[in-house]
Amino acid sequence: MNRNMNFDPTLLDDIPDVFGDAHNVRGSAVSAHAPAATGSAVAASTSTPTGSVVSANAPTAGEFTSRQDGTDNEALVSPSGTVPTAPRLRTPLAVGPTRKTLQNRRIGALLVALVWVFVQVAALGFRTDTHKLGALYVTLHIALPLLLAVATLFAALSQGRNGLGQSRRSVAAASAGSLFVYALSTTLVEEPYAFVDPYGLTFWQWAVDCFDVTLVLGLVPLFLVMLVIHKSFAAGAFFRCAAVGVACGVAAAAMINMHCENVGRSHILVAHVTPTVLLAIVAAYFVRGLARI
Amino acid sequence: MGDSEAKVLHQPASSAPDATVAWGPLQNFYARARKPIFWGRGTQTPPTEEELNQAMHAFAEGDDEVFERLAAGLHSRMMPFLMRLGHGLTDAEDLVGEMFVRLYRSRGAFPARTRVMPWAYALTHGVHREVQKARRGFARKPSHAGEDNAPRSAPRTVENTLASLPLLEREAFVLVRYEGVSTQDTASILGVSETSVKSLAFAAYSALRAALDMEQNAHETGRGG
Repeated sequence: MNRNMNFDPTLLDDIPDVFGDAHNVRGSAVSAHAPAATGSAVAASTSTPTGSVVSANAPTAGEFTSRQDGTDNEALVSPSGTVPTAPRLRTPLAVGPTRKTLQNRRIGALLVALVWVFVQVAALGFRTDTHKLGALYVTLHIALPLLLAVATLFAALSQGRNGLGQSRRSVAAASAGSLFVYALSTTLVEEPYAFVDPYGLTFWQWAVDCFDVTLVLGLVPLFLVMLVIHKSFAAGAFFRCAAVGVACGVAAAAMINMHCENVGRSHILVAHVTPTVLLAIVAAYFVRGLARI
Repeated sequence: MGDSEAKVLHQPASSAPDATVAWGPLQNFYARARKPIFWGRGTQTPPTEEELNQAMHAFAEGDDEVFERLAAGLHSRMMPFLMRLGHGLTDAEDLVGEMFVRLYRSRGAFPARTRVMPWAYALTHGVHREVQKARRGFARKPSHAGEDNAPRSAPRTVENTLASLPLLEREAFVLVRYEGVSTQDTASILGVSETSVKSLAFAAYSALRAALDMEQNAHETGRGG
């Protein structure tokens, strides 16, 4: 039997609340064999000096005392019977930026990142073999990665339900899917022509060159994103940051494909795709600490 | 009720030392929060969820003045949540304080057209998880564990059984059963699927029901014998 099919949250009301009726959000009665553990709660609420109304969700000191830590309330009270005040902070606590400020920063970071990658590729020089590539190759090596980068970034930054982002499974699937689709597209498509190295470099010299450039192309946008998503993810920071890393990496791969004329499949896999994986790992393990609220 | 507790209950709110400084609403909140917070936050009625949503959106847009009311409203909701997850009173106070600091410093990240309660639960859950991770291997003893001579009761059975449940099961059960959060919202707060939430809550329910039945049988057997 699939127990989830007929799951009804009210079924759980059968279990008594150890805090008593005051916190029973659905208003159901505590089980008959639950003793009156909240007797002091009633006393505490009636002793309220101001006669203020306490909501169904608002606890009273008596409730907490009756539950377990009887000494906890005592600990808040000094021998003179007054409540000690919190120590003063040495420095004022800085309030976070407003929503509008954050949005402006994010737009600014996006523009700077775009300018950065295009300036870099322009400075390095656009590839001169575009007439030999064919539409399919250009689509799979430049347009597709850019599209995947946008989709992955959207999955990472979208609000989702309650502003807590998409589910971890969706974000992880978007990240892994982008990497997989891009890697598959580079390996399945035919090499448009037999590449002849004009500089006489070995495979690994080419690979290291492109690997470094791709990494730098992706790291700067990742750094900018890191600045603007600082303390932004209330949940799922690990997967969302990994997705941001994948997005930056795949976008960097698309940019390096606009420069690099080496059409060898193994070169592209090693030098253009691997930095994407590295950026995802860096983002997941290092950026998430900053992005998490 | 102890003498000291009675003193606090009957202490006029204005007699507590005033440590209010011009450092902003968070400092003001904490300075005043040291007055008897649970019942003596004065004559204010705790804000409704809709009022909290409006306050949070106003705070995210830059209105600092609403933070104190927002914090008061969230405090009364997050304290029971943390205590149901197994934290003591002072521990829960610390964690709620940490949650407020995070909320205060990341107000711009609160998205438009969203509700504050799931957001606050997610922040509180994050703080709770960090503490759980830091204290791994130092499991907190249930308050009534080892009290063999103490009379058994349903609340104690529930509390001890809850404490013995796997973390995710306990969190799912507390959110759905005690906090009244929907399974969809619980899923987004815990970062799991809705199906998982249902499974976890049901598993916790089964364990609790079994423990309560056992306790009831033991009680009846004892009375009959």
